[in-house]
Amino acid sequence: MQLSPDLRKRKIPISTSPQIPFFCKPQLADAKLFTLLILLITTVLSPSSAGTSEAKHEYYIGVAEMECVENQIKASALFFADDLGLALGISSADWESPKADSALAKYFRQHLRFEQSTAPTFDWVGHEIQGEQIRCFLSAKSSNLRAFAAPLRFDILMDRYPAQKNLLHLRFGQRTKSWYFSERQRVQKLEIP
Amino acid sequence: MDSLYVFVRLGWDHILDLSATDHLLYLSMLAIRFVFADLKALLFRVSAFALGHAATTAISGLTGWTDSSGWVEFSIAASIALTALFNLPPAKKKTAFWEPQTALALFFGLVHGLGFGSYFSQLTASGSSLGISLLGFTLGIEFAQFALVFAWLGLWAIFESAFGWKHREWVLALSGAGCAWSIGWCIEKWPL
Repeated sequence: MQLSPDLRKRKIPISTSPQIPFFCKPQLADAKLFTLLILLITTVLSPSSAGTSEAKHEYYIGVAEMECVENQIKASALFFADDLGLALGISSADWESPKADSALAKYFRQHLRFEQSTAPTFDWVGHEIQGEQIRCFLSAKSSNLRAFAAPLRFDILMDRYPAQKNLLHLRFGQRTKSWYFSERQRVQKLEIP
Repeated sequence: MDSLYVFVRLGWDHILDLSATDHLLYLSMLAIRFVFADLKALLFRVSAFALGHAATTAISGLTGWTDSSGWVEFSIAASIALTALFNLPPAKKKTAFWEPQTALALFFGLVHGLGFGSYFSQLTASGSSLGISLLGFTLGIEFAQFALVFAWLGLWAIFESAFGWKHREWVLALSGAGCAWSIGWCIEKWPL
């Protein structure tokens, strides 16, 4: 094909690398992609627009301490009052009422107990509010706590909060043993040597 | 069961739990920038975070200090956004052990530890050593962090080999998502 004289004279720039428009230079394009993603996800997926509040790392942890004194196990358990209040339907203003005490006693009978017929049963003693936490007191009597072993259920709040973890520290004499209870390990074997 | 083991479990679950969104997101933003070749530098940075976390958990656990102003919660959210933003400049070929981001990881560990510390002493059995509990808790955090970091590096290796993705695209897309999420938190948790 014959080219016209005008076209033959025209200088066509030859480049070894493709020409990139200034707005597509790698770093600037990266920044644009980054900003676009931020805007998109902030609008659509961020916790505030989704109506949830997950920014705070919520801790679902309870702890109980038991002490073997002669033939008695004295127990105290510490939980967040607002979590227990939601589980039992008790408002913060009602914690001092007898109704709250009986609801707590019933709840603890179900969720803190030995799962063996010959093992001692915990009796409810009472509770007290400590700031934003609540401390519950229980006791159990047994004719022989030496060489005692029985499975213990300690799954308080686990039905309501699957992330709930409960720690148990058992003191006998100068020794302390600890157990970790989670949704998958609601029952653990307690052994007193 | 030994008390140390119980606190290792607690530390592990403190990180690898669905309610631990702040930790998961922060560590993810920290890890996605790295590849297996930079593993040592990444583990060093992650350990700096665990060290900071342990320091403030101990201090606030011993003193009973709690943040009532809301600045700690805001700072945790901001730390995630900033870590994501630090992923924006192109990564160097080889990451050095000591970089400004390592000091920042330590600082962010200090901030994150403040969010939990005040409750920690209550979890330790009365008469028992807080040091043993803290050691177990920190070890659990460290193990969980390593597990999460390996999961991210492994995931990247799979994406790279299966789909031929460029690492830069991977970092920017995930950092953008993480940054957006944490900016939402910053707005929500602005304390003033």
